[in-house]
Amino acid sequence: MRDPRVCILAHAHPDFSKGGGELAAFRQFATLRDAGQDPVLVAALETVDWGGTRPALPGLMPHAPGEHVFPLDGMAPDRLGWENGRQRAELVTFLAGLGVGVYHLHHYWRLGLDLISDLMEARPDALFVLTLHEMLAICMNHGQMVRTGSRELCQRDSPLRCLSCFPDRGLDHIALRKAAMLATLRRFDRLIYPSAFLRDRYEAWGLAGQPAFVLENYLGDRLAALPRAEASSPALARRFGFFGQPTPTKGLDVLLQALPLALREERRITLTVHGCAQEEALRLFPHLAGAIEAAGRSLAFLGRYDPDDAVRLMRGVGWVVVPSIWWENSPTVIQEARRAGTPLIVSDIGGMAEKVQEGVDGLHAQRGSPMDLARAMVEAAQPATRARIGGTVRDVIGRDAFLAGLCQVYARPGLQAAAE
Amino acid sequence: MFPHPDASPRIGLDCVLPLSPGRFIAFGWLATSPGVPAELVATAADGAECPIEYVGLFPRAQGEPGDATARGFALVLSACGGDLPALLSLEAGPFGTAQAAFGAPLPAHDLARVVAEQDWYTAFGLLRDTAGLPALAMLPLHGGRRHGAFAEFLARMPLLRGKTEDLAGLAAAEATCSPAGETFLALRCPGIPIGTVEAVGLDRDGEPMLPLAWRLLPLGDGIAAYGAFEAELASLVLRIGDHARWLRCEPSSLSAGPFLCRLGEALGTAALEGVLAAREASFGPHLAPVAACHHGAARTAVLVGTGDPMAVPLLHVMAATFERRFERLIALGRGAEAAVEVFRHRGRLAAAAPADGAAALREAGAVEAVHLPRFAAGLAAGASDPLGAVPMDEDAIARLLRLHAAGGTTGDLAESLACLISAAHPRPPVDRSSPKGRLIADHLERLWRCAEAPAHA
Repeated sequence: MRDPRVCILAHAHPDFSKGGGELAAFRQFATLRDAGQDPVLVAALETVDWGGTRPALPGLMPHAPGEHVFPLDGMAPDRLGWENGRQRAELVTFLAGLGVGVYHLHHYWRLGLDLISDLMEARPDALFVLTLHEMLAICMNHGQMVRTGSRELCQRDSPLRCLSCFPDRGLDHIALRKAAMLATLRRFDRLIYPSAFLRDRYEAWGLAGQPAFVLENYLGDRLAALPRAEASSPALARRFGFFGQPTPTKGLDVLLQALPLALREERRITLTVHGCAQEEALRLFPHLAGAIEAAGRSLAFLGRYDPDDAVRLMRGVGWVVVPSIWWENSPTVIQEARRAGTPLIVSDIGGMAEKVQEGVDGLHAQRGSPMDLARAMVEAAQPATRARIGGTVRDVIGRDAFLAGLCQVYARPGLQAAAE
Repeated sequence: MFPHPDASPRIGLDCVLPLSPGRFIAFGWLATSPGVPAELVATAADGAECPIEYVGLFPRAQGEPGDATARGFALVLSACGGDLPALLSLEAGPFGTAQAAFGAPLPAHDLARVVAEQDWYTAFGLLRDTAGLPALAMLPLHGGRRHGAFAEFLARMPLLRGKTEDLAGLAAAEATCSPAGETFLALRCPGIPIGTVEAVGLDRDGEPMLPLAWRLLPLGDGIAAYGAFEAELASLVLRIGDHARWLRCEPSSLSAGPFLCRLGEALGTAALEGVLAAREASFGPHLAPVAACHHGAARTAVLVGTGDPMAVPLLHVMAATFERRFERLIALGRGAEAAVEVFRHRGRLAAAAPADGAAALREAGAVEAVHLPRFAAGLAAGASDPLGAVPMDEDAIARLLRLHAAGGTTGDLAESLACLISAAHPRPPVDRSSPKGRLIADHLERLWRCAEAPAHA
């Protein structure tokens, strides 16, 4: 039986933003296309930061062969629904008429629960698949399950704890939001979680019993074809790298506090920060000026990088540090580091702890603790440690395994039997 | 027994007007000595008696010059056969008979002017009697104008709208009313004892009503009054004090919660306690649930709890659930219009967000009430019937409206309905830390408890 044609609906397009979710969606699209299928990518286009003088955009625009983008002007500010019903209806009409058998959504945010519902009504015959990228449905704090005031972690959803984080919302809001999310997500025929950790969280929240698959995101054919790091020199053990944007929960502040502590034990350690400039880091963490100064020439900020260069850049450091203070799901940075063959030091929670097996792919450090992170960095800086773990870092999912996983997700045994 | 010379009855006829075919209303005055029995008899030209359907006797401020015993009267009588009444006799037995001839009837359309030009004791008394007597029922409808025969009388009275100062000899006056038909008056008149206040209420249709309860309460430099009527008041006509001052009030309409707060502000603790006890005695028995009648599922949903911005996304996702079960949907309260828009856009269910929710419920007759947050909780919990619709027949709707009128803490009927079907009590509109606040909060709680279904009903 022929593979069904797939429409990939994404909350963003990597030509306009570089988040892990949109990269995963696009790479899936490219992989299916390169595998000889005829997928369609329809992605949201956030234009808020384009300024107020931009011309009005059509509700849907072709972007590249097989690719379309739609602006979010008609959506509600929370990007969970549409205020402009006509724009939503036009999108639904377009999507329903694509002639695809599978709608594979990456995220629901920026697509809209209402659009999803309408599309499901318009195409009751199609298979609806959703890849979940974080926990926005569970947690109003950007889906991070971290308390707004204290950075304390949440283990599960709790209306009263949510209310204490968002006292202006009210219990009704929390109940209605959860119901709307659950009602939408329960309607999907298949749910894909890039980590078992994320699956467990969603199932504990209310999705237990839904058809679920744990399937890693695929980095794409280009990165998959790159060679992994060769046996390293002892000096590489002391080179640490941070990759990513300096958001409040990525833990760059923890790492910058850990660095001077580690330098007291091993003065040859160096840290390169990829993804932001020093000024950006100081804007977000002004209190770290002293720590940055104390690190002196051991610290360098190298600014933004292209995601396609990540694996190559990671091969140039001995360790990739992922010190996030939120749970993470299946961070692209971890995948890229494992693809590169570079061991990691990660926070000991959530998707990070799952994806980096202690002693195999890297080391764990206590989440949010500069002291423990410094301890791990000093241990990692030992050439023997680097050599030992550098030899066991697991590679990430390959193209064939990913496509086989998708095939399993898209399989509709009943339909297949009928066709045969 | 010899008649006392001063005991001779006297009578004067001011005018007669047609009221309806074969019926007339007449105004005049009469005087008899105190204690002397007297009877009015109307006769046609041929001597046949014309039935008198109503006689009202009222104080007469002006009286006959020098005659303190004169009283005004209004009477409604029928023609005898086809003949007009010709003579009105005041028969006082051994004290004699006084007679007055009916003149030619004035045009019917003069009635409102005639009533307004009567001594106002007469006009007020006639209005008061109209509230209870079928014989007078046509008066407020007379001429097809609002307030009918009383239109000009009411128009000529000093008017108090809500709250004002220096009106009708009062330093300050305030009138409020609740949807439960209550009114609260605060009349301030420093240095002048008011004594009595008599009231006639007018409902939204202009029909007069007598108070079911009327309490005069002490109020510092004046007097307060709490009254309860059968229906919500549109206006109130007052006779104030023994030396009458007249006032028409259009009270500020407050929902029950703020109305009680106003009582709490104005009254002392003991007076407040008395009023609250009277309220409970009056309203409580009418709030208790009756055994549910099962007439099958209603095809009209009443949706409440839509005030949160997440209501629309949830309704959008779950719209089909409503469409499968109902033919019609009425959304009430905050967010109702946006909620209805979801269904209108889909076009599979007649949906409306009526401005007058109470009227819409009454018209619907039987409904199933859906509280959206409760529905949400049911969905999240995986309930087999997450909608949790609560069937309400006409009786249940009537009870809800009574409860909202007497104990709704805001003016939003949807909030009262949401509380009722969620078995929750609304947040009291007062601070419990003060004794009067506690009294009001406890009173409201008792009213809401009256409306709760028994645990094992």
